[in-house]
Amino acid sequence: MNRWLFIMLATLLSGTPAAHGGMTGREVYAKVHEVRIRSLDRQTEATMTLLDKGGGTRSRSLVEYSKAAGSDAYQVLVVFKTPADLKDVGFLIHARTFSDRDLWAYFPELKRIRRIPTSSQDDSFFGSDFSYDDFGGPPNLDDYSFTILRDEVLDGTPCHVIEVTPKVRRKWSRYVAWVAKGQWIHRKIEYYRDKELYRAGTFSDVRIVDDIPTPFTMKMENIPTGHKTDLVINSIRYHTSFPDELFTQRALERAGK
Amino acid sequence: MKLLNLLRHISLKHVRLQKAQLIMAVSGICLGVAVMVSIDIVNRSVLRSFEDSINQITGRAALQITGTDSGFPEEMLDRVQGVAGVEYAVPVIETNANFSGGKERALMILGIDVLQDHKIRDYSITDESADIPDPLFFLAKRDSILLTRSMAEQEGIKIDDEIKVQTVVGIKTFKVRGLLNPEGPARVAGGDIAVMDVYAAQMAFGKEGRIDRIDVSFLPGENYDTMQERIAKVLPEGYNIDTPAGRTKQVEVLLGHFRNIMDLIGGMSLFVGMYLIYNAVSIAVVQRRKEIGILRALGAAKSQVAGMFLAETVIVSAIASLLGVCLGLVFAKAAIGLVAQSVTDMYVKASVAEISFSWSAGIGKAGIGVLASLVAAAIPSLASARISPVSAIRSLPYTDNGFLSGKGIKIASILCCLLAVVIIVVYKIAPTTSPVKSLGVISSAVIVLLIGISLATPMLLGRAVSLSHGFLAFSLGTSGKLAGLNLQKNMARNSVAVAAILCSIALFVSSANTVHSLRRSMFDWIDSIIRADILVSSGHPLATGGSPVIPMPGEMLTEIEKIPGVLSVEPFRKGYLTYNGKKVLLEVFDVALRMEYCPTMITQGNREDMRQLLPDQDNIVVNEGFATKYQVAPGDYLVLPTPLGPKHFGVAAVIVSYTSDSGCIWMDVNTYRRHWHDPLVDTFEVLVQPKADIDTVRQAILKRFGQERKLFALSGAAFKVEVRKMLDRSFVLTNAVNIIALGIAGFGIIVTLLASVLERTREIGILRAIGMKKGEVARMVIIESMLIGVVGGVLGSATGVLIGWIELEGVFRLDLGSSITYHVHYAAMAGALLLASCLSALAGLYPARRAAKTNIVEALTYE
Amino acid sequence: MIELKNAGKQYRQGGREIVALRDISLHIGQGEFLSIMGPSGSGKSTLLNLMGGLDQPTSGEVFINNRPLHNISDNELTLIRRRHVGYIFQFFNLLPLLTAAENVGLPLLLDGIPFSKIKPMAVALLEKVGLGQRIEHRPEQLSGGEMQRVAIARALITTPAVILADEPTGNLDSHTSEEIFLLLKALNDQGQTIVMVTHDSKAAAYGTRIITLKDGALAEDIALGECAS
Repeated sequence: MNRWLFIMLATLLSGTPAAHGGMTGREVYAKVHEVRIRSLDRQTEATMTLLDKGGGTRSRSLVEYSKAAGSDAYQVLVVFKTPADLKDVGFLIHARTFSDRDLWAYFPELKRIRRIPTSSQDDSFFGSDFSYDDFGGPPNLDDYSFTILRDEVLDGTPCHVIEVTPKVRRKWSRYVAWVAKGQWIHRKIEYYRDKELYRAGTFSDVRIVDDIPTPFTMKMENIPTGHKTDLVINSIRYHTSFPDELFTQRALERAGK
Repeated sequence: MKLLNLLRHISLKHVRLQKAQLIMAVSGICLGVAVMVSIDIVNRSVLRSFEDSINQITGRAALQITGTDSGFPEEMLDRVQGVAGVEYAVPVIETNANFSGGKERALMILGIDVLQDHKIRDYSITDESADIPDPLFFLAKRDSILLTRSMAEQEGIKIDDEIKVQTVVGIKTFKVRGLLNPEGPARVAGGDIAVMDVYAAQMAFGKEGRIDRIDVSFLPGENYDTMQERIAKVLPEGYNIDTPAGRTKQVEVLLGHFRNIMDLIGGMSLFVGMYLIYNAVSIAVVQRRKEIGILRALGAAKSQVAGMFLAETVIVSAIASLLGVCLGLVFAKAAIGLVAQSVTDMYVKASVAEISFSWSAGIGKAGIGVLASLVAAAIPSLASARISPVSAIRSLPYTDNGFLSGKGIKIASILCCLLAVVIIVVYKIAPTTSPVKSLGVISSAVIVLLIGISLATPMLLGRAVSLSHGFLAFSLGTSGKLAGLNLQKNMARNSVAVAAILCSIALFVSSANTVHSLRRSMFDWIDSIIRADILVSSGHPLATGGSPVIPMPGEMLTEIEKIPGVLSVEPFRKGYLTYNGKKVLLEVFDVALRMEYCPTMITQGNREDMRQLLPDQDNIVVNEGFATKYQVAPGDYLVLPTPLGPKHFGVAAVIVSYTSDSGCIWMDVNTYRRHWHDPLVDTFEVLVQPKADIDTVRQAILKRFGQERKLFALSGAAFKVEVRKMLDRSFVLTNAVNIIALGIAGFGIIVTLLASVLERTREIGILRAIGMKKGEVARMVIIESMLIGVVGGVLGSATGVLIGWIELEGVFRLDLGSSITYHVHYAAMAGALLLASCLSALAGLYPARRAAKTNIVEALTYE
Repeated sequence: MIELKNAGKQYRQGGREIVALRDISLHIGQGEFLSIMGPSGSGKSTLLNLMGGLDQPTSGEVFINNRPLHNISDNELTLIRRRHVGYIFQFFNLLPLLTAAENVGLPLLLDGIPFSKIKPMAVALLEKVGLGQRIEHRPEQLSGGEMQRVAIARALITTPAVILADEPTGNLDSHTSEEIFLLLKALNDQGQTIVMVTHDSKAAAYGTRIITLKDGALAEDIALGECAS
């Protein structure tokens, strides 16, 4: 009898933190946050490939520079290298705090820096299936609430499956993320608008670079349109310690030179 | 219940048995309602297409900020974005362009902030094509443009194709980066729209640092008035902060005149329709007199009898009106293209894609049809109740002359005419702002006058018949004499027929005269104003309404001057100003130069003043319409908005100009450039040296600029021809309505004469019995018919001349100025008379045949 | 039943004053069959019209069942015509559009009674006047005699106080006329009060009483021997 009771209790309690090694969703994300902050100081060279439903592809290469600036501030500069038409098109983020940031884009042919309103952070990053936000740094954890749904083994990696709901209005109503245990990085993510799944991505080819687990292949798909974007890292360096001048509007106009 | 019994057992049987007459009455009402409905639909559709365009283009914007026509600095955007309560403020550039290469096609280019604009407007970028429409490319390349799917299909353009577009800075090549589905702004202008990034548009159209408009949306809970106030505080003076609805209203005002004229025509055709119904019911009453007598003898109350006729009218007119609504829909579909074209010619670009029709409005019009029918049927229905059972049963000869030829009618007639005169006088002396100065007042004067003259028809017809008596007897023998006598005997009803013809002829003649007068005055004016030998512009000068012509840089002037054979070149620029909340046309040219060669029609002030006061000084000239509307005279000062804030301008003279019926201002080009900093030119007006050949010079101009831009160089003479054509096109619809009115009158004549023959079956039988030939009987009926037609035609023509004058005085002079003079269109009048007599002779044919066929024995033993 | 007290009728025609009836006093009792005779223009029809409420006297008084027919509104007069008087005309005056049954039922139709209720009554009356086979026929399909029978049936449908017949056989041949007179006589035998205008003395003999008019005045009043009451 006692044995039965124990099993029943275990079943009932399986949804509680106790079953996940005693961690809450928030605690898991605190770990994720820590890894993200550690990875902020870096230079990444990557290739982005856009694939449409009909099989057409377009490819572009870009360099990303980032830098942590103080305890909860950071800066990111992205510059396109190819194709020729997009050469030196740039994108700059200044995050004063994790939830307060400015976004700019620069188009050399129009010789004009344009501000991208914060309200557009969930919009497509220059026609890809990533968003501007995907290129930003870690968010402010206080802006979200976290619920652990279950544990799951994803492609051989044990993961916490966590539902993340924003407290402020975003273009999506929640996302579900598969966070690799121990590495504390996303391996899979699904964005929902109400009930509808509209964007899904995977993060694979995880290599440890300078002690930081780094997914080298990122895929994101727009579910309604079937449009996909692959982002593959060609090379990455951490602990770069770039000077502040690299993250000014002037530098944006000069493509990081 | 009682009425229902009568309707079911008596009226219904009439319907079954007297189909022919019923069809005629139904057709009359049907046509009248159809005219009203179609006019209404056309009006609504045109207006709806504007509203729709404006709504699609404005999206969710609660306020729109505009400066002057040439745009304003983009710094204003930052200022507006900083205002508390503003949710989004997005820049807009709106410009017109033409496809060059292939067939000429105007398109509207909307320059928007691609990164932000979706917050105000809905775009749907097509993605079913194999190529990825790449937003990054679209943003990064300044030659990017989006076309609508519909236009791309029509022009055979695919994504990544290059298109050549004529712009202010010459011909430009753009690359199509994507196609827009027909949603939101892509529906505007019938899909002839292209979207660019606002900053690329600035570069492409020479508007660096300037934008045309800011669209603003509010945070929830903010209201329009406080927001307007807050925004006004951060902007310099002279900016318009308006709701999108306000912009619709401006168009509505523009279209108002057009609508008024159409409404007037609609109202008058309804009036003619009422005569027809009056006639039809009178005839029914006469024909069913015996039936009424029997019913009365058996105990039907007066109200039952009158009610039966009224109820019959309601049922028949309801069916006819509903048919009319459907027919109106058909008419509207046929006419809509024509109207859209003439509205485009005269006012603003209209591309009406769909017909705007709501059944509730249609039913409303049908209701008016039924109501008008009831009013018209009231007199004969009440008369039916007065039929004495005894006389009806005994079949005593029926005369209704007592009712309509009395003294009362004469007095009423004179009173109506006097009332009309009083209304017109009051209207004339009322100040412009008074509510008396409305089309309703003038229309009521016209209607009262028509009633007055209609009431006088028995008298006038009697006079006409007795005057023509000798002639009729002499030249047409017995038939003629009897025809005259018959007319006199049935004076009341024949008078109604005459009145019906009178009204429709008056309608026809009056609008023919008005149109003729407007045409003559405008042609005179065009001759006075277009003196240039060659007009150079970048699009066809008359291709579309509004300002579709892509302006050219002012520096071209010196280039044109260098072409051999050119004597002088004058720049012409036009735009719109907001004065007292209304759009006013601003026309800019080189006054000093123009005064040398162009006779200007001046109504107040003189040429010397214009020559002295205008060039490069803060003085202007206004047209008559403007002067009357705003009570302005030479010597007054006006405050006009300029890009640098409001400025005072002195009025030097008042001139004649018909280019805009909402008012027009002339300004010297130097004054304009000083205040507006706008070096662009819409048209170069070229004078050719006396010995040079105009066509050679024309070709030389085209050759000189052919590489850089597409130009139109039209000779002055060709231009005038085009203008005339355009004017005539705008009058086509008016003429169509007139012809329908005449058709209604034709029906009236047929119904009246038919009834008169039916009623006189016995009399005709007697005539035949005592030896009148079939031919003579037929001739008698046709002569009667023609007499009615001719008398109606003559009276109608005279009345029409009068009404035309009232319309011109009351409506057009107010808007266009006193320089419009009244011209009687004699040819149209003669045509109307001829038509009236021919129609009435034709209308007499069937009754005449029927009369001739009358079976003598049956006619005599009848009853 | 019907009472006239010094009833007179004058009207203007072409500016002249014409006296149609002068000072007629007359009492017609229940069940009488009165024939009115006299030359053309003697005022026979005018007298009949006064009794039936088709016309009103210009002087004197007219009563039907003690209801005054003078000095009342047109609507009241109309209701009396509809409910208390049955009319038979020389020219039948049937509505050509209606069937025999509908013509018979017309007075009740005017009262707002649905035809479904009227029809059995109309059919019964048509059978009574011998037209049981002609119920759905239109007047144009009937002979003169048949039309007049329909008119008689129509006059009977309201069970009127009196039937007024204005030269009911004026348009019929002598054989048919006799049938009509016999029919009227039979109705009178059942107690129906009838007033008939005729200029045929043979016809007048079917009645119970004959009055003769001359120049609008009562000239003779003869009760026939076999007076019923």
